[in-house]
Amino acid sequence: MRRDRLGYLFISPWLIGFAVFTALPFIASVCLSFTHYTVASSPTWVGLANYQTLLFDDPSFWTAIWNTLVYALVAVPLGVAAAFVLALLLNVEVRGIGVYRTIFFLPHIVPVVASSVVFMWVLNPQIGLANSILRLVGIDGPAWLQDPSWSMTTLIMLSLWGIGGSVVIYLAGLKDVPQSLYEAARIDGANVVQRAIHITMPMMTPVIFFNLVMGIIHAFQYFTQAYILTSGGPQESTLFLALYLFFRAWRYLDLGYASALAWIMFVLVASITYGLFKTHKRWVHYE
Amino acid sequence: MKGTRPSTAQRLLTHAILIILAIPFLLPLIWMLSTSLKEDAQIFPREGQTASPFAIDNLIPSPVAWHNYSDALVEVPFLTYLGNTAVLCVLNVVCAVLSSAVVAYGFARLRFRFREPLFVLLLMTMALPAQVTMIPQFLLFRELGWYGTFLPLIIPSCFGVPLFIFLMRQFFLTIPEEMIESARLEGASEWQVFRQLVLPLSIPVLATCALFQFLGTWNDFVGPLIYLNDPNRYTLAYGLQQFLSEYGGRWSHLMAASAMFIAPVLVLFFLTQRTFIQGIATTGSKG
Amino acid sequence: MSEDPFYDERSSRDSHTVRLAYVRLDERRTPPFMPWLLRGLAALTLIAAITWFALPAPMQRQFPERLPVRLWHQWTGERQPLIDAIVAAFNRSQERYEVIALAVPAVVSDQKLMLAIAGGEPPDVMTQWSPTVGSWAADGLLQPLEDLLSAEDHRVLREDGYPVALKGAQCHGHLYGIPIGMNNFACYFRPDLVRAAGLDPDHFPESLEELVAWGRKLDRVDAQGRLERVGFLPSRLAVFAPLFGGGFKERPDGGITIDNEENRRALTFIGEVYRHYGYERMIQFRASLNSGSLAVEWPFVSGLYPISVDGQWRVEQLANYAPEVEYRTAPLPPPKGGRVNAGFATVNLAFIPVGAKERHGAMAFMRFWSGLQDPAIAGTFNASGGWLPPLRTTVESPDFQAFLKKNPQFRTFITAVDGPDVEPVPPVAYQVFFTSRAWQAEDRVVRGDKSAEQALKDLEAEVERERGRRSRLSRPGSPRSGAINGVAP
Repeated sequence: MRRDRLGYLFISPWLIGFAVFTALPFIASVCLSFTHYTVASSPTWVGLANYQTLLFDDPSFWTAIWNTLVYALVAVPLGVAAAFVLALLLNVEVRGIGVYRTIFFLPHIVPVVASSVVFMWVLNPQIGLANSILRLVGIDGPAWLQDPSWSMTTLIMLSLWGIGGSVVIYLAGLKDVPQSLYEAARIDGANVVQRAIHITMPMMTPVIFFNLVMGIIHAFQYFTQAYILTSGGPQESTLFLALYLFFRAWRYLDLGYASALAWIMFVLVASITYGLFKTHKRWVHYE
Repeated sequence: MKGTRPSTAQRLLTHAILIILAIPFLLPLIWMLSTSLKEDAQIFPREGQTASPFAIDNLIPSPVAWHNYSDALVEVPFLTYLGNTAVLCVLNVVCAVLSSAVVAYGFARLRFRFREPLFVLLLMTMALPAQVTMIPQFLLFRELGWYGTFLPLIIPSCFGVPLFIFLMRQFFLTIPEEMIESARLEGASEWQVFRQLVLPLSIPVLATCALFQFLGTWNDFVGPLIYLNDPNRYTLAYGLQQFLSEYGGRWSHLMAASAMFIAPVLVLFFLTQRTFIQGIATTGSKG
Repeated sequence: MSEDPFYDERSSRDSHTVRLAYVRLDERRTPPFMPWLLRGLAALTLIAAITWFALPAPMQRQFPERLPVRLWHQWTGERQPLIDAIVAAFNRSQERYEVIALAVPAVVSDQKLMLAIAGGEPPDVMTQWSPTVGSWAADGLLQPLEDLLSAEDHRVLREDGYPVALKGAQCHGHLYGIPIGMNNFACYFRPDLVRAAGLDPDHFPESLEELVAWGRKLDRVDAQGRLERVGFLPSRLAVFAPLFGGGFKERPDGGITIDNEENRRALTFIGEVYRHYGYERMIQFRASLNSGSLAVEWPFVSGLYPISVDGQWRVEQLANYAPEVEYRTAPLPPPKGGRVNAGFATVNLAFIPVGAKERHGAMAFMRFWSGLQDPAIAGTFNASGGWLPPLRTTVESPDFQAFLKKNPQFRTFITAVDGPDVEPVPPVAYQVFFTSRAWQAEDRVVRGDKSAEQALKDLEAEVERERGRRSRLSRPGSPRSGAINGVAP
């Protein structure tokens, strides 16, 4: 009893904030999804019309779902794995490791407006740095962001550029792996790689799980880079759900439609996340 | 630390791998710096030039245009933007970290009814795209009379940030229950346990969240732009956009401004990275 | 025990001892009253800060006794002083209103406007470069302006204004914006490079076929077979279609003329040029053209793109950023047997959002900026901005004539925009949707993915589907069916 009240007291900031700043807008946006709403006049009820059009009469919607799923299921595991390996490397106590850590963290703090400009030029097929380097070794580089078959791959590669944030989280978690386990393993004759696989990885699974869930959630909200770099990409090859939602809401002024889109997105993300939670006990060790 | 110091061979290998990996991370940024020191006319390829300016041998600008930096500072009301950004960052960091810690402790170490469903609800709130709750939230802030003030940019973080709550909760869960129980048995109230036991032990995760919140606010462009109508209240991120006009941009100035924009965060990170990554202070003997 | 996926009571660490040591250290650290003092100070600072920020920032008013007119515009960065000058001139010229300007970057200006309208606090005047008047009028975001103009103003717009300026500001018989400038396209070319290729710059081609031939002579390929320089590359179907007798115009039934013989020929022509060079190579080359719009990076300046079809804004850019480059302009020639002096232009508008508080002040400012009040003053603004004025009288004013004298190449654009066959993007309710899909259709053709016929057919189908959806969603009689504004959905 006392515990109950105490618990609620502690989480009260979030509860209040949720009720005021999140729950109300949530409910409002659900209602909006059943209306036709342009900002100038009040919403008019249209029932399931938005959902119907979305699911049965909108090829761009399915393109966007496909693109987003591809991105989420490729870029996220890739990013998690890459960040983990990088964190292992950066955990070593060599001189100047602080400099390396800063270097790898650097892209994470570059503002999007600057990094997008930089990448547009670096990846320019005709005059960009990337293709200039490739030409030095005799390869004719692709058109990167301008080529529909390469644009998604390019964006995935660019997402790897910004893994510095996850690396920091992994590094913090790595420090918590007890030394005694490593000692015991070394006494048993395990080398560095074996120690990494059999001790570090299992102990880090909670952090990996966290980054995986966060990664999936953020992948479904992937917007800014696509907006600035490709604006939906050559022939909708990089049209992501969040981007399509933005267009429908603010360009075509169809906020009811956009709300319906958002809720389908939400259901999708929630299902995937739920699936992750249900199966995580099999591979995540809490100890 | 990973036990005994690595051998010289291991150290050299680590350095080599890190340097190779660092190149793709650094190259765009080196290019950015190099562009920031070029005259505008030098940035793009000219006819008759054998080497494209995007090639490696053109990374060193000549002449070196140091004035780009001073020009960029003069072109926008830099100090005003810096002041506004600093205030927003400090307030957001303090409010977000403290409130999230309190809520996270509630979810981690206190038992109350509906704890698990509420936590799942917390996670789900992260999955809904921001675009769609934007209008109801905006209307809410307007009803409260906060349109045109800093409040919509600060108050929401006083109620906990779901990402930080999740991260901190994971961290708090690793603090031994025995410690907390013994503190409770010694007569400490829950708040004292939280403040004097758990918080000091959680400096790494608190610092990590502080860093992320700082970055988020430092880079936030859309928020201030939508809620503020007085240019004297705008932030550095807006100032950065000032280098883009209807014609494209003064690229050299934009790069110089971006470099200056990144510099403080970089220095901050480099100096304080031990805090996030250190783990527990290893005073005292190993267990 | 609850089935909590995160909670596991059996957590224990060997650094247990370490932590206990740490805790005891902590207890010995600070004197008893310090924490309370610090906490109190921190709380006070926080409250003070929040209170201070709760107060709306005071607007810097130069003339606090006047009625405020809030202006939002998209001229950020270096161009902002131009607008500031116009605002200052307006404030000086009368004593009733004070215009307060805010530069909003174009990437968020639409969003900011929509939110402000939804929240009931829109600006009084706003500018817009993209063709959105049809969509926004249909959705009820704009106020019709006829009643704010005098009969004389209407006459000036009709008689002194270029026809396209009015066409781009109107929608179904109502005026929704005041034109403040226009954008149209013509050919820029480099006489030095043209001469070097053995062609005569004084006799620019008079037919598209001849222009293509010129372009071929100016091509250059490097040792690896990559395109280093392309002489002439058509783009923007909307610009070329009128020359073939086609174009995108609004039909009486509310649709747009998309899939017809003339448009097909125009799009096929564009596609053919790309096919000649090779679609793959063109994708690579075109990317270098899109690297930015500032003059110094325009491949025209560096000589890699000797004949460019581009907008009138380049004239001022070239004067400011690349004055040493010799260039000339010429009107885009029609194909053999095509229509002369037909073209395309977009119109920059100033409009009054619905819910704006100070309509009359807004209109006073718009009349001042556009030249309705005094063409000569507007001439000064347009000269300093390098803009294409919407009124002939502005063009003829002394300051603008001086600008034309310094930049004689600008005259091509004035001639090109003056004609009854110059059309804007049709101001239909689905205008924004159409613009975006039309560009995508053209993109498919120049990549070789679709034939011109197929692309236009698909575009028409897409547009019809969207039209149907919109009219289904806004049933007649409902408040947003446009009955108020007289605009069909």
